[in-house]
Amino acid sequence: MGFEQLKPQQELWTEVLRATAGSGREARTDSVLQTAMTLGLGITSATVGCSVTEKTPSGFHSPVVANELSRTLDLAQYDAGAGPCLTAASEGGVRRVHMPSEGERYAHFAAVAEQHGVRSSLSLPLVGAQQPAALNFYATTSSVFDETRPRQVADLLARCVTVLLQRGPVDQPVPVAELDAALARRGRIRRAQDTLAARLTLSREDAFAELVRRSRAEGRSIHDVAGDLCDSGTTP
Amino acid sequence: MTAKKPELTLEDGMVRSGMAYQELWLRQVGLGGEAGRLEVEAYVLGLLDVDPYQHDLLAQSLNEHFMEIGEDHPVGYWRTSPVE
Repeated sequence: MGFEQLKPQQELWTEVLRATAGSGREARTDSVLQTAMTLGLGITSATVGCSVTEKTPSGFHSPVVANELSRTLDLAQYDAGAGPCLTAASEGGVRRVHMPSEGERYAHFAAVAEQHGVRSSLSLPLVGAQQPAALNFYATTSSVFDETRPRQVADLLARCVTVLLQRGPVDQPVPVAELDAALARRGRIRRAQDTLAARLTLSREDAFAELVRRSRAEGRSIHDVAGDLCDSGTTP
Repeated sequence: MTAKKPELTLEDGMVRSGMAYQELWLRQVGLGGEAGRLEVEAYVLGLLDVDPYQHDLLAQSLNEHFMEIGEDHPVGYWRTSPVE
C-alpha cells in the first residue's frame, strides 16, 4: 500500500481541488494526477482500478494509472483496438459495461477483465480536454457504477482530472451579466454584514448568521434584508 | 404538539432542488462565498470538511431557491445568530 492510500480521503481531495484552483499547478500536475487515481480507487469499496486514456496521433495510451491492474486492463483494450475506454475517449459518451453480459462487444477486454475478477467498468469522457480522453474505473462487482453517488463522485473527479490535464479551467464560462449580478449582490451582503458587525459587535460570520435569522423570521430573501440594511444605514 | 420537520442536508437539498452546481456556485458567490466551483460540489457531496460558515453559505444558497418556489428554508443551518 502506497503512502497516498494511507492519507485520509479528505486530504487527497483537498490536494486535488487545490491544484485545480491553480496553486502550484505546473510543478505538481503529475503527482496530483496520481493522487486523483488514488481517489478513483476510493469511489466504491469494489473499485480496483482507475486510469486515464488519451488518444494521440500515435494511438491510445494511459498517461496515469492507479496500479498495474489498471494498466493491464487499459492495454487489453488498446491492443484489441476496442474497449469502453476507447469508445468513451473517441466518441465522447459515458460507457458503463457489466461483464460478462455486456462484455460481448469488447470480447478481448472482457476476457482479460474476467481473468482478474473485474466485473464492471465505467469510462467517462473528459469533456474539454485538448486530446480526446477518458477517465476509467474498474470494479469487482457488476452493478456498482449504477448507483447515483459513485457516479456523482466519478463525475467530479473526471472534471478535476480534465482541469489537471489541461492546466487550466474547463467549465463553461458564466455569462458576464449573471456574474455581475452575483457580484453586486455579494457587495450588498458584505456591506450589510459590516453594518451589523459594527453595530452589534459581531464577527462577520455571526453577522451572516444574523442576516439568515432575519431572512427566516421575515420570510424574505436574505438579499432583500441586506438591501434594506444598506439603504437605511440603520439597525432595527 | 407538532413534531419539527427534519431538515435537509446540503446533499439532500441539492438533489431536491434540481439545481445545477454552476447555479449553486454562483448563488454562494452572491452571498460572499469564496469556494471554487469544483470545491462547492465536493462540499455538498461530503468529500471535503466544510466549516460552519461555508456550510451556511451553501445552505442559504439552496434555501433562497426554495423560498423562490414557496418553501420555508428546508435545508438546515449549522450556526445560529448570537442575537437570538
